[in-house]
Amino acid sequence: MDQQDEKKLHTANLFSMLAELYKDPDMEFWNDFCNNKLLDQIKEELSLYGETAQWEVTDIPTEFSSLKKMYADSLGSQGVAIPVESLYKQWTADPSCTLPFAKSKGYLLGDPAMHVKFILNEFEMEIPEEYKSTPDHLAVLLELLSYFILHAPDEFTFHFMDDHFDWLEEFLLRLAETNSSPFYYQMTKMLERLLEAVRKEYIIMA
Amino acid sequence: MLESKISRRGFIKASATTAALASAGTVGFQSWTSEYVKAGGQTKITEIPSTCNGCSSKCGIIGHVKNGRLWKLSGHPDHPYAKGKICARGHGYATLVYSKERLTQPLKRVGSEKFEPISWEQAYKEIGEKLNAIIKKHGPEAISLTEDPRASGKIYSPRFLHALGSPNYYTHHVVCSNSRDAGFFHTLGVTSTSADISSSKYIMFIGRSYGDAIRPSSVQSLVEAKENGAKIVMVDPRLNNTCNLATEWLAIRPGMDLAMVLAMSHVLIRENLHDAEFIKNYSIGFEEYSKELKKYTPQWAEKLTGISADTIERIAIDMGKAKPKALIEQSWRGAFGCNYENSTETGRAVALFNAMLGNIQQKGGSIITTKPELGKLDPVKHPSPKEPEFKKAGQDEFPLAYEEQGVATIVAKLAMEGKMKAAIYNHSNAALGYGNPKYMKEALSKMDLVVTIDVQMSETALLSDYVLPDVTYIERDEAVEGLSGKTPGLALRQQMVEKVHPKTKPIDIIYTELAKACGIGQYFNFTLDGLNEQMLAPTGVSYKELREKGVIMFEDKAIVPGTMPELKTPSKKVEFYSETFKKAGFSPVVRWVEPKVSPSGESFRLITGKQAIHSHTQTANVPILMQISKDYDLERIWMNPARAKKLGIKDGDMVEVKSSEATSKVRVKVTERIHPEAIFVPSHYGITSSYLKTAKGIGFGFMEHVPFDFEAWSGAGNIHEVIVTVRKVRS
Repeated sequence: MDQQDEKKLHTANLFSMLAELYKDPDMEFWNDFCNNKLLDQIKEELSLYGETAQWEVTDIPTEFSSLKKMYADSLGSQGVAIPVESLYKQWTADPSCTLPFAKSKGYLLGDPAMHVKFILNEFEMEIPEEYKSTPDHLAVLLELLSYFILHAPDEFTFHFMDDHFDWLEEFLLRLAETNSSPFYYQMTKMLERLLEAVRKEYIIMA
Repeated sequence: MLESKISRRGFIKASATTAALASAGTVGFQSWTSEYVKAGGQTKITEIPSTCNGCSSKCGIIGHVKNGRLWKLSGHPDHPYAKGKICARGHGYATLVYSKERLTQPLKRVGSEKFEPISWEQAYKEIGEKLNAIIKKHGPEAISLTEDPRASGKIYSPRFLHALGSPNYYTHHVVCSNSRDAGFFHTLGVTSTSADISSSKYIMFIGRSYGDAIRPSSVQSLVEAKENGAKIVMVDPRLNNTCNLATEWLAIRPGMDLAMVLAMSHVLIRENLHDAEFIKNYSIGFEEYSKELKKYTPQWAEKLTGISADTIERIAIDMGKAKPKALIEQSWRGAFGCNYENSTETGRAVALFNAMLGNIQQKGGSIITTKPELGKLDPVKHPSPKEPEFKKAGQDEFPLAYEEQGVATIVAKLAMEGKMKAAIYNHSNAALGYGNPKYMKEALSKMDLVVTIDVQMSETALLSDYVLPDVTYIERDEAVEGLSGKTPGLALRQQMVEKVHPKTKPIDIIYTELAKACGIGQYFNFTLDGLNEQMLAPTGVSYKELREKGVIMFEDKAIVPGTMPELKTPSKKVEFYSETFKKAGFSPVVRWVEPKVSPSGESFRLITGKQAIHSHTQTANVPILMQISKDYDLERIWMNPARAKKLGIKDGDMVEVKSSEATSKVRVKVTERIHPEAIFVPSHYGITSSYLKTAKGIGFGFMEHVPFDFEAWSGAGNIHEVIVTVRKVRS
């Protein structure tokens, strides 16, 4: 395994771990979370991209119920900032669509979701039933990115990153505006920086 | 993969074909979008006829579906309410299917406004156990079910309740048309007639506004009438949005409509302009009514209504001359659906005024509609539960209320008295819209079990022990709907797109599965398709054909004007004198009834009504509709400039509205379009559920000011029997 492959492995691992943060927390996740295993490992991997210096996470929940509540209030289906790409982008670019919200943001199953569905279908990949209405959920996108880093051509991965993570700034604004938990804001801020760092490397590779 | 120290819940499942990724070309979003859009021209568009759910009218619509998503909506050209058009609410409410603020999974309440997701199995099991425990301890009479009825609900909901042994099935009409329905039913044998507007020469509306609601075809027919030279008189304390089609606006004092109709009836008889032949052939008790009417002179009515005696006389005479192509539109909620203590009597007087014009079943008059005869489930294969052995709660107290609809708020009253222990609400936001919210909240909290079935977290859902998520009307099939009208017909709601949220279910499935958990599954041993096949059997229309067309009208069975049907009243005739009313303890002939409360010089009567872009609070959380409200400050109350000046209030000022029940803050619209005695507040605002983020905090809910009450005749909510004071406050 050459150095580049080794780095890809670490990067894929990092995105895969970050994906865990955006899923509804369960006890298994909590066990890793409360022992700091998850955050420690993320921190370790981040050093690859020199991000550790800017690593700042506060408001870390100390009880499972607090984490559950924090997730539900911030990112859950009734949360203030649902991490689903379609909600932050124009619903469709199809000019012939005459639905009154066609050019609006804030609706599920927009074009980004249709594109992710297309990719999943094209490559016979499956996601759980609960994400059927949100195939462009950040947790899915990060898992897909992790997978593509290891299995897809660099150009494909680069475009995937370009296409499906450009809404994070607006998502962050939403988190900031609504005074929800700083934890998810800080993690997402870090994710945004990491994506930019990885993207820069892919520009060179692709 | 790098060995990780943590466990993962990775859920991407990749097949062997995924290896093809290694050689995959770029399928980037931009190129995909461009292909997707380009392909749009060639992509097959599937057109699925269905019905709207933006309000209770259920107009025919056609869903155009592209790549599995809703792409366009159009009005169904054959549907009598739509006639090829959809209103703003119809377009707006359809966005619900892709809304981020829907209920997506069953929820159980774990604290005040706190819920946790549970499985359907757990929800069914726990609800079933609780219902059975309540029945065992308190009897089935302690269980109720209330809904805003839709085609499937009308069949499944009462069947479910009857299977449990309870007759306590209610609809939303207690705050809609209970008074009008009672007045019409005991007079004409139907809860409503249908006005033949387009052929009419003289039309009076009382508090009803086609321009603010409800069916595209209603507005079309009124435009047609106007173009044909019809006189259109609008009686309303508010210059509503239909008035641009009106010949005349009569700004009546709110609550006095009955006085006006009585005086007009007086004039008809005095001037010998009533249809004596019709009255002789098709009615009973005219003499008694005629005697009673003698005292209701236009001069008497002028003092009450604020409308000059001359105007009352002129209009009554003109209508008498234009008969039978003259009518008072039957209204719905309008000014006498559920508003005042005299609303049932107003409904009765309106029905009788139309009868005096001899316009029943006449072109340009009031039509008693017809409906197709639909089949029922095979009683051998699918036996119906037996009829409950006792009366529906509220029937003894309000024997004049239309039995099928009942008096839904009796559930809250009985809950307060500890007699009602369980309530199921299907698409019914009773806690906010049926009665005073404080009262309703307390009542719901006293019950052992409250279950809500809905698509969004309404205020009622928030007070429920279990919340069951329905699919939207865009994602479900429903039972066949028989269309009543001058021409009978059939309509079918059909699923347009796959359900967006996997854990939502349509109510036919919810009832079927819940019934099993309750031990009454034997009454739901049929499928929706099977039910529809059997309903259609007598009509000669196949299910396949109805699925293809969505709407089928039976033109050959249209009503022939001039043929008077046998009425479903006890006498089988129009009842100017009602033994039923007498037996219930009320005057057998219509008499003047004072409203329950009256404003003084300093106070106002709070009245409400619809705006064309909303359906009460159901559409409040639709962003594109609420944005219109925000852009035009539609949540403001209306106040007459003369009263505003006295109170030092200017247009746009923040004011405090205070009643015996609540205090609210809202901005004011100062306008000549409102009677000085009234404050108008639209009925769509004041959402308090924090789950409905778009709507919460906009305006105030008028029901907060309405004392919990029953109109003595029909049990309706008396929603305009509210006195408020208003004062300017700081923003």
